[in-house]
Amino acid sequence: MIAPETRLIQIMMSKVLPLLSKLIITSSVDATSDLVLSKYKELYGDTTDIFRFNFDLFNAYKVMVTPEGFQIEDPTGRLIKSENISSFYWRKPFSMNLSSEEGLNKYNSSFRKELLYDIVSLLKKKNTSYLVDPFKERELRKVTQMSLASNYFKIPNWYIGNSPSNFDFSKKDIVSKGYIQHQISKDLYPSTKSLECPVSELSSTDTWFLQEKNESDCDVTVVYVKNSLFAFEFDRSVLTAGVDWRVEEISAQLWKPIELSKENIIKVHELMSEFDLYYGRLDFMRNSNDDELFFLEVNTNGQFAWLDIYDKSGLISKITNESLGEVLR
Amino acid sequence: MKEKTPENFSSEVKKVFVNNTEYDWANQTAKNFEINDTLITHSGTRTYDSAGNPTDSDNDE
Repeated sequence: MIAPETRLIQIMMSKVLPLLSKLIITSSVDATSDLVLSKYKELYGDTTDIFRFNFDLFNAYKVMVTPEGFQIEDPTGRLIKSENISSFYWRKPFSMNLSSEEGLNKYNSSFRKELLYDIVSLLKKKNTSYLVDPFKERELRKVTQMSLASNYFKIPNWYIGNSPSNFDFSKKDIVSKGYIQHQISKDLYPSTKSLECPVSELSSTDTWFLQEKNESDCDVTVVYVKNSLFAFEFDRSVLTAGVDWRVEEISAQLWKPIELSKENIIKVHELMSEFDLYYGRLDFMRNSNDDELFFLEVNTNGQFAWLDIYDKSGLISKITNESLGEVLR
Repeated sequence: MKEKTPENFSSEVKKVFVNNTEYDWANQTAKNFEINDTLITHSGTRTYDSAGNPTDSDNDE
């Protein structure tokens, strides 16, 4: 039997976080989480009310889900309980190629992922505040995106299927685009590349995402954070090897902040409302001599930190405030 | 003529020091965390193609 005084001391010494606790769900190597936590410390003094759950280090935590809810304890004894969580930030917990995942059998790996989705589903049902909806990645797929976006923006003609020869492209230059969102084999990732061959030479036993090549000279990306827009532009004339800037040696510094026209700002607001997203990174193309935007896609959990690493545009502060700060949904 | 498959239009990747960042449990950040121009592209958060450019999807799950 524990004496009441001893129990009281135990309670006082326990590291249960304050009532208004914030949960960031990520991985131990996610530098964007480091950046957001650093900004949070700068804005709010410390990070003692934040609990970082690094999914790749799952076994370092004690995870418990019961009829009463869930709790997670880290190796330092920091403990978070579901009933105390006011907001959570879903920040790419499933980083690829983490060595800690190697050797983990598929059953355990799948079990943990499903459990994590269960946990955030529970938090959503409790009306916990969040910026990034973990389920939107699965829900708002490319075809739906393009279908909805076509009411607001032009979209280069596209085709998905296994019989591309039967589709009439009005242009000759076609690009093959990535459709699946992860590796297609051990060392290969889908990317956007010019076909440089007739569509008839494409394998008919494979499924394709093809699009007429857009000749615009600028890439535009817009980070949308709860009614605020942060737009950046990249001059494609520096590209030498292809159409996808991600596979060339491009410095993040080449992305410059820009102001969108009022008309485009309204369109982005309306589209994001239709997408039912509070956060998203929308990719467009445009010609430098006009304002018309061609929609490519929205990334519902898109990377953003590289666009404003020193927070000159206020993007990092905005994300920090809206994901973990005091601004509730 | 040999048919083209999706692999012909994909980028090769190699794994680059993804897990070499020592995690600081007390501060809940990487031990060597500092803000600089290469924070995001060289911190181990991304995977890279053969030219050393990030190739991870924005929607990786």
